[in-house]
Amino acid sequence: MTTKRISLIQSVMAADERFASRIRSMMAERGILLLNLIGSPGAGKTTLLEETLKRCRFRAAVIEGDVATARDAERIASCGVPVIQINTRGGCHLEANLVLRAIENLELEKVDVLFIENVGNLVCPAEFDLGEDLKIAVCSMAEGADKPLKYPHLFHTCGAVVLTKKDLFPYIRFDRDLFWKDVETLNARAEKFEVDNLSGDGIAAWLDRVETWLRQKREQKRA
Amino acid sequence: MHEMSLVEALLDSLLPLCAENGWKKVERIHLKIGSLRQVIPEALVFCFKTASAGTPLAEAEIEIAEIGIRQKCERCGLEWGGEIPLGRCAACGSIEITTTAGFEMEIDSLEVWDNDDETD
Repeated sequence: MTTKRISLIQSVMAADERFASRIRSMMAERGILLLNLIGSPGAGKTTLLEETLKRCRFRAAVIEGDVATARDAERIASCGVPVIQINTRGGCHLEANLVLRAIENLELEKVDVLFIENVGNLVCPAEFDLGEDLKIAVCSMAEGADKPLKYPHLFHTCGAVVLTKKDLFPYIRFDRDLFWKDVETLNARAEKFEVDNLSGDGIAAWLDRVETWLRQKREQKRA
Repeated sequence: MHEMSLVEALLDSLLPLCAENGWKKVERIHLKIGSLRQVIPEALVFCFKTASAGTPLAEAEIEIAEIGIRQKCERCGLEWGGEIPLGRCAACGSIEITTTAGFEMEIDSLEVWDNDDETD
């Protein structure tokens, strides 16, 4: 008996990539900006969203990904924004098929910017395309300055890096220059922000940029 | 630890192919995985053994070819490889960089028992 070799050359994740492109075209048709926030547990992703939602003039909605609990969704809901919680029950990242199901439960005609808060993790979420316009890397000063080089996939592919908890700077050893130098090495195109979610310092610049991305998305829709 | 998701995706792609083509036993699965994909080969193989039990893929060996990072400057045409992906061309300073290899996550080929031979 012999074996025969059959050439396939197809993506392992072909099925999920189809869900991601479906999401991408749904967003493109409607001119909705889709941002995928990725960062460690405790980086300040939900707090960044809360501060963004309190101040923004666009109509936002949020998809929350967590292993368990609806705590983040409750925090977002109290900002008066539509939110859908996905519990992955152990899964360390969101996948496009789950996100698509969540999107189907949103009233998209009332949404300008859809934020996805991914499961807290710097590794796996970077691997899965959710149909987003941009991945946003959220990292806190408390995590240390070595994170970009330790997690090159995320920092190389993201559209922006938001460094949070900058109010902690006087109290911790954080090599700010090294952090931004490594981000620049991996991804010279990434937009760079430093924010203090508690005082709101730095949020305005971030929000400005989100509004610019939204304008660009709408221009693409018209073009 | 996203290897289980990858294995599920792999089974979702390959099991229908086995059914369509009448392959009873797949000997080997050749994968191409880019070094930026953060896949732990041992974890992938372990997940595969667990998830493929009772299917035509159960005894298949997984062969992983790791593909290194390759990048190209779209302005000056310089190409290079390295341990980490760079965001700027070392020669001309352009940020118009394309990562041409390192993100692969492909099923390259399969080795299956040739069913035709069995009838000889």
